Amino acid sequence: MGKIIDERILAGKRKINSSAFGICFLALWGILLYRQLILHQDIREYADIFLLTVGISIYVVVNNILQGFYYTYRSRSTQKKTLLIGALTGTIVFSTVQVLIMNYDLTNGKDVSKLILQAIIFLAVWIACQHALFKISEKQADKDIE
Amino acid sequence: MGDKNNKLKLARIERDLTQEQLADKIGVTRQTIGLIEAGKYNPTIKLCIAICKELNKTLDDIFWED
Repeated sequence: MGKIIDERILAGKRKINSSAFGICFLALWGILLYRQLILHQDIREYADIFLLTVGISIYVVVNNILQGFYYTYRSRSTQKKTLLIGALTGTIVFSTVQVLIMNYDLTNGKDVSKLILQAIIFLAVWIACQHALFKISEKQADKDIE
Repeated sequence: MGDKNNKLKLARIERDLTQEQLADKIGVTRQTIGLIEAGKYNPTIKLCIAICKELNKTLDDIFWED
């Protein structure tokens, strides 16, 4: 066996890089929210940051799925709980954004029923997508031991 | 943190090696050897094997707790 790389230093450096990435990632989302909600800028004014943030998010999720890490390390019950909490949070955020941006009138029955219908569709699509992602990730994880 | 690894320290001294000399032979830093001996770092099996080979010992001799 030849000389090996000092794994302790390698792991330490990776940890630093990983936490730096985490900070940048959170900062990017913070900047996006600040520009959208506080400065009320047009999306064209921060399209570069928006694309970068969304691109990185997609990169993280896709790589986790391809490597088989997408919640496969959690128990079935935790997976279901995570799926449900994520779906409900997503639906609440989606509905809130709809009310704020689309100027829905919550005293108008038609608007409310439209909002409820959209929320139900969003919830169903979210759960179906997440379930599919869990399954793909699990398949990828099993591939390594076949 | 884990217990001190006195077996590693004894095996190293038996071979008349300092932490730095052992670290150089394996290709890690002196601090890594020091931390393993102090029980403050859990090495991977790859590093354990490298240490054992260098000290001419088995994994049981150095890393198995009695």
